[in-house]
Amino acid sequence: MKIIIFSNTKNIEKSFAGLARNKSNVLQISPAAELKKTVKKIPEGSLVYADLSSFSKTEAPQVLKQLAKLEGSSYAVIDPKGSVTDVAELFHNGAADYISAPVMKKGVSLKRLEELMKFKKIEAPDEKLKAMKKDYILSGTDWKKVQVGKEYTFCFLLVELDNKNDLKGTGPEQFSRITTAFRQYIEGVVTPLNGKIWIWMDFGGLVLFPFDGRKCDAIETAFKLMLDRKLMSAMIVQLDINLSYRIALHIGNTVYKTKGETGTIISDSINSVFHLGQKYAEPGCFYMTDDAFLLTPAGLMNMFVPAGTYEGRNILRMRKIL
Amino acid sequence: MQIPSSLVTLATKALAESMDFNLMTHVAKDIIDGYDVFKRTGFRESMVIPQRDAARQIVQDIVKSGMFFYFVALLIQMQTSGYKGRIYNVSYLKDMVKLINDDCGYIYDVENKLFVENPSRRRTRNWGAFLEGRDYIVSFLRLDIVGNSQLVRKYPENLIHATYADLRKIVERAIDKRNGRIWNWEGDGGLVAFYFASKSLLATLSGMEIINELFVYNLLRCRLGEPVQVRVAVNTGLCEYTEDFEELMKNDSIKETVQIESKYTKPNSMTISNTVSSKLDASLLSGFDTVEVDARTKYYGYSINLEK
Repeated sequence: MKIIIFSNTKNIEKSFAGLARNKSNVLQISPAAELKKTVKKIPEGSLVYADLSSFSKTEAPQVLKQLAKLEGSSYAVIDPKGSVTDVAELFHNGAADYISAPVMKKGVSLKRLEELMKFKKIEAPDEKLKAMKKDYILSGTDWKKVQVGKEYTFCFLLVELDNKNDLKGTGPEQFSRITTAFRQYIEGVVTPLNGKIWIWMDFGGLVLFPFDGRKCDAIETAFKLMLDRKLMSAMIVQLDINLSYRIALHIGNTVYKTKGETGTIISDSINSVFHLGQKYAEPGCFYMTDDAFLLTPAGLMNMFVPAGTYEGRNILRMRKIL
Repeated sequence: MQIPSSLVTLATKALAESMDFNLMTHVAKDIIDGYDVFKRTGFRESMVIPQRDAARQIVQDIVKSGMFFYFVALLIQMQTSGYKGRIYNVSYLKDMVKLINDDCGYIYDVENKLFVENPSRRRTRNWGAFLEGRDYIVSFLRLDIVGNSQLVRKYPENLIHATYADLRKIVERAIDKRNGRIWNWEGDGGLVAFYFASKSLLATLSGMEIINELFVYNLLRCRLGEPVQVRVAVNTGLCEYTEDFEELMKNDSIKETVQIESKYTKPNSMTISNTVSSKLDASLLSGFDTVEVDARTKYYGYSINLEK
């Protein structure tokens, strides 16, 4: 969840440091004066804290009115000086929380945030997921609990070079060197995030990320892979040719088998991600299903545009790099 | 740097056993300007200095002058590409190079023909190789935070410190893997130098990585209520090295880099000079914008542009 705090109070971030313990929370602290300017641009699903001590006596009621009109986001009030005479009125007007000086001193806890979310019926991403996909069998944050032969939910990332002819034109030796270097690059990027190259073909492969129902690091990874295309080309091709690759991302289920023994797996999710990447995706583009998009960090959501429906799923495409 | 005595002994033996008196004095004069072995040993010029005594004095003086690695690099060249038109077989050369690698943490850079510190063991500003007052062709990357003064006024100090520390980490990650060195870092940006391998390419790739990483940082992790914007410039040119930073900043290539950054670079983009672009492949430059400087000169600009 994106938590935006509009405050000029020194060390305000210390009171909210506890919320950052959950990595899916993104804290942003802005000067109070920014609230009026940015209130209309606040991403949906955010939680906005306004520090009333940072506004003048005339500004504070206006700010509260503006916040009460927020659509798709919640707001809360920080009141270090105890200036609010009727706290209940704040809640009547839709506030989600009230942070007094003692609470600030103690620090806002994750538990408090969870209570607040229950109170305001704000869905955490995993709750959203549960609502959407009852058949998810979470594989966890790493591979420790994943057993061969059992079915789990994974994040599937298919990445495949799509300018094969240009690359083949460099000769078999260079082509082999480039594809090996490409694989090593992908491996270097996904391994620190617990990603595992599961199936590898001549031009690309399928990477599996364990999925805990809360976040999907593969989205940021794939986004960065698209941004870094030229950088990667210069680093690994070392010829006057740029790489071009397609990426498809999907969250779904499969039986887990060790690498090299995947030939007999029957999985709708694996089919889907291969079809999406190899049949639907345009060269040089990154596509994902709406199942994955649900887990997209708030800051990246705007980087994707709807790209139609494919095999019964809504598809999103990363904006093209011009 | 302290040179181990075993290495000094080996170098003395190498000199004494591989060349005659005349040759070793020539070599010494190449390393230390106006070197006079007679004065240093106290022998009169009419006398013959025993070869081993001359070698010992020369090596000791080279060690004292801080030019020992240059001396061994010169011995390597004598054996590989030759010295004054002739190839010389230098004894114990392999052993000396090994000792320098193992005991001193320096490796021989074939391209630049000098010893440099092994980056996995030590990282100093001049790669342990640059000498005061000597000229080098260096690639520079200059980075400046756009609107630093406004940001500092607008946000609490600790927030600014944390944000700028994040930026510095992004820069360090981008340059460390490409053997770049930060020559200066102030509150609002800094200057990075690259010297080895394809320095223009490495400086450019570092700049691209900084722009890309900062783009993602601004979307996902920025602590401020607005994106951090930088201007990056990359330039390659001659630089007379000095430890005195104020003096260094008077260097024409560095001044030009600063000018490219401040005058020809838009926020959140990188501009590379023509001395840099001439060293890059067309495929890398294909996505860059052209920045017209004058009728003869054009720079290239890199930024991230996504479809609307």
